Amino acid sequence: MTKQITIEKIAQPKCRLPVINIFSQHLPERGILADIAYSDMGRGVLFLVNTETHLWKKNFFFLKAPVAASAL
Amino acid sequence: MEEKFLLPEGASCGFRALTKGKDGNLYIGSNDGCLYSFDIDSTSFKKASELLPHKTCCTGAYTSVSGKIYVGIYPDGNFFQYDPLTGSTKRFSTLPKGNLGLYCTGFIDLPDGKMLIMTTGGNPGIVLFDPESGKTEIVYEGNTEKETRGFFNGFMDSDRIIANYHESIRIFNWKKMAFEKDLIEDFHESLFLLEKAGDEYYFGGCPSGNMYKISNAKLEVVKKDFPAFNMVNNYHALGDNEFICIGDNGLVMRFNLKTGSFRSHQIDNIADKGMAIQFLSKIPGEDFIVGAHFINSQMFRIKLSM
Repeated sequence: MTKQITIEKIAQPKCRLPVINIFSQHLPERGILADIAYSDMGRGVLFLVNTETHLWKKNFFFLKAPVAASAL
Repeated sequence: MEEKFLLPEGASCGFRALTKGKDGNLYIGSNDGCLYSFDIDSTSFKKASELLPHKTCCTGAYTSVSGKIYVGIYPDGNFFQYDPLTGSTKRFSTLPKGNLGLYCTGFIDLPDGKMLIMTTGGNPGIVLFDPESGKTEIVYEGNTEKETRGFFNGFMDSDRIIANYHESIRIFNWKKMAFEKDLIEDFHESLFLLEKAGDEYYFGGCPSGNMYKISNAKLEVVKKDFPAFNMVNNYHALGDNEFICIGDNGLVMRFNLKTGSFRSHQIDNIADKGMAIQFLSKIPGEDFIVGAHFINSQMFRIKLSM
């Protein structure tokens, strides 16, 4: 029987979204703040944030499936 | 509250390679050598241009007054011009061939129709670019120690442009093509993009994470100790001392410097392939391995004994 090794985070344990060296973009006409989370494995994530705080609810977001390469 | 979209397979955004186009789309310079556009209405990506036949590193993006998208790259410090109307892409050189270690990071339109292009890193400088003729001319050769990073912040007045460098805020007179006295001297940490609100400028510092204000050439800290050590690349002024921003730890924050109100919302990553391993080392005499991820420096420990 094999055991799974455990990986323990020992520094920066709360690093949850690496927004590195990207200037966020504000689109006031749409009420959107846009930014990109870094991924050096070719899987960056663009996210759009509603800037109206009354819409900030936990666990409410729409996740879109990756766009197929053939559709590009 | 937020929507998340995985970039197309193989795509990852480079440094500061996100800009909003005049057509309402977002443009993303990707490390897979492509420029993608993102239609906010249909929430779909489109490959607008293949900038390079091989992987590259995009280090700056800018939407010009004409609506063309400019993308700077590393390591040769060159840049691309993409025209959303025609779909054409042109490549331009900033410095003679052979100079490497250059980041093309800054772009700004001049009132006379020309542009200034900034390079930082191994051979920093400022290049005058004529979009009509495509000609470039080096107008400033910089300091390799002090100008390892930088970008334009916009006009201070009709003649002078504010430029950020590693630890200084400088003023470049484009009519004289020369720097004047620094706006802020002896700033002892890296600084990010300035946001103008009224007659004042706001920006974040690194590594302190402080939010600074420049008013009448005087510098002061107006906010510090953001939750979870979040550092902010750039702030967006909403009016009446209200700001919105996102920290490098994914915390979106909206706050008011006058009333003290503060709201925040944490965004988590969804990428299933995120951080590569930067180092992995066995500690002598210990039964564990220590490693760290690139680029967020997240450290971890793997116990060798089961």
